[in-house]
Amino acid sequence: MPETPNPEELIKWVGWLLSLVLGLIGIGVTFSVLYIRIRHAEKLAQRKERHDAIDNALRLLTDFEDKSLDYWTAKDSKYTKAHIITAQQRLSFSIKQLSRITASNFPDKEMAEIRKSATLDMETKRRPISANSERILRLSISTSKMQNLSLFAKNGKS
Amino acid sequence: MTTINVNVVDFSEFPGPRYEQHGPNSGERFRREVLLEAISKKPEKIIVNLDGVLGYGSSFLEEAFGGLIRDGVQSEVALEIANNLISEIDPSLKIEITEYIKEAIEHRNKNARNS
Repeated sequence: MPETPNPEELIKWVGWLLSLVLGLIGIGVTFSVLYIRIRHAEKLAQRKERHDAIDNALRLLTDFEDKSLDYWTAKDSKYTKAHIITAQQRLSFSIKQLSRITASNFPDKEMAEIRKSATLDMETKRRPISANSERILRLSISTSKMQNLSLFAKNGKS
Repeated sequence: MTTINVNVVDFSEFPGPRYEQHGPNSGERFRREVLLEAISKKPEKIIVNLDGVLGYGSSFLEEAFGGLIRDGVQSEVALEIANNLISEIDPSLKIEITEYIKEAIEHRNKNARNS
């Protein structure tokens, strides 16, 4: 005849088993929370990297536009061709970085238009030119178009 | 298959203006001394690498590449050079150069029709 388990022993075993299950659940919850926090931190870091890259590219775009406008419209501009071309190269590099970070296409048409409006025949054309001239209009439109690209959009989700 | 590789940086780190009379390392000189020289060897492929310089002015690009058409280079040859361009740092250069070549072709065709 099988031995009837001692109720005290049974309660003790059930207690141990319950502790073990609760312990395992606790470990599972801890790791889940840790995983979520790491993922969240990663997302925040990615968002910060993206926003920093956007800020940098916008700063360089403004810098390029300011220097180009000054070069073409100021009577005695302190900027030379080298300043404009270097500014364009820096802008291009920063947008390339931004495109890589956001896995987007490089805005090559817009960049070509920007360079063309600022540097085509810059050594030979008469300066200063009117702020209402076609070149200045093209330059302003092309930089605005660039600025309005979704590449430069900041949002809380991404 | 014969391929000629051209690195613009070997010509100059600072590509200059359109014409040599306006400054050194001009697009005019690059076209004459580098591109036309390469084309004259009749290779099957010419690969021009634009990376490594401190930037380009559009005048240099137009004169160097659009000027090929004005110098009598066949449209297909010039367009093939544009197609094989390497520009990792600034991919927009390829678009702009192709545009200049196409504009020069259009201009040449228009002149041919009028004459």
